[in-house]
Amino acid sequence: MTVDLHSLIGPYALGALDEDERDAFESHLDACPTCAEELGGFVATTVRLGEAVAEEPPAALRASILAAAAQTPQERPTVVAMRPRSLRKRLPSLIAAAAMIVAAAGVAGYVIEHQQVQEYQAESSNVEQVMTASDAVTTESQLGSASMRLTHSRSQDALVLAVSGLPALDNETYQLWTVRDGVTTSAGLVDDSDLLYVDQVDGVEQLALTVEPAGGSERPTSLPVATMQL
Amino acid sequence: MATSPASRPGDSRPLSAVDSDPAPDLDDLLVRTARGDDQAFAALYDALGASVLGLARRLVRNPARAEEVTQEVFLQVWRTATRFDPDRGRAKTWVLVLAHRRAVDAIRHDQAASDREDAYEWVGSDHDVVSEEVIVNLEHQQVRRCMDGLTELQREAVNLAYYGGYTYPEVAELLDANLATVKTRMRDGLIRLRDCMGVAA
Repeated sequence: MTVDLHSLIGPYALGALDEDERDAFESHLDACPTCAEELGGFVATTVRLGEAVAEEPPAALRASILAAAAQTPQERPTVVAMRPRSLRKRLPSLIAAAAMIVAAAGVAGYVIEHQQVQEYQAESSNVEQVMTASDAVTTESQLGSASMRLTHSRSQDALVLAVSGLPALDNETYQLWTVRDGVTTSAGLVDDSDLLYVDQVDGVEQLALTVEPAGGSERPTSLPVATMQL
Repeated sequence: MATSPASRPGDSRPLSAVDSDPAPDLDDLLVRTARGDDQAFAALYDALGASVLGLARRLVRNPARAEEVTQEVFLQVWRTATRFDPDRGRAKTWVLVLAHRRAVDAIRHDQAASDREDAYEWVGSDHDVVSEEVIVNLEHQQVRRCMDGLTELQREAVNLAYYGGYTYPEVAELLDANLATVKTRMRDGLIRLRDCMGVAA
């Protein structure tokens, strides 16, 4: 299987795969550092091919693009949680902390392998507290190419969800919801290779992942692509 | 890959007083774009717009459609700039890979091979009127020369995939070759091009 997937490296670099094979190759890539290196050279080569056919764009196009951008909201940075303001500030160190934990737990390469562990900051230990809590329960589920790893600690009243391999979306986003007594509450937008920390989860029975228009929705507008029981 | 991007005709400097480097650091521009810096975004467009448009034009053929694709690409860059991680790759690569994907999606969306032929004819007859000129640059000549160094099958496979937007099974069909051969030729072709262009792996 690995050999077969690896033979897709040329077509992948040239953009000649359909979506399914592209996803399959990308998950192969996660597990194959030497492929990533070879691919880097190939992609840099295709960039040259692209530059070689450059054409001066008409001035009106520039104006139109800048005007459109001025009216287009930008995506927020990856992790959003129930208390976004306090959390977002701590995000980089949260990820770093989690990366260290994941590495220490012997499952290095999972989810955050690309994130560089920069510095560990003790103040950002929310994720660590969940992952190392004595009552932490981890469940893993596989959904096509995607895998989700949910770690829940009752004593911390929090959970950490790690997602990888989600198929890429165009103009849409994944959004996580908590379901409590039939009430659905947003727990934030989910990017691939993302790590979400959600606290105040007492009473939450279920997590659901849906596909929403870019920027997310107030309420789910589609059926979940995945659900997880707590 | 060169560490500093070549400047192009039409480059305009971001109005940042701090940055005195004559060639804009595209990675930095994209990082600033993620923070909502519209001047950084404009500078990024000035640096990469010609490549994106040229590639889109090559793929979708129809000039108006190529401009649409270019606009979509840059709006996606604007919207999703937060996803760019300079530790994992270069801004130029990020944008051009995105551009290629968008243009191929547009082709598949618009579909029907006959439409593409029609559009191509139309470009041909309209081309003199349109004032955009192909930027003849060093890269272009180098790519030409390196392409000449490929075997015919390698060259066709690379061309049809990258500039034609065909999937490798479609390329196999067009070249009347089997899938395994086409995959191998694409890889071999890229290895030769990479080495010929002196692209660092």
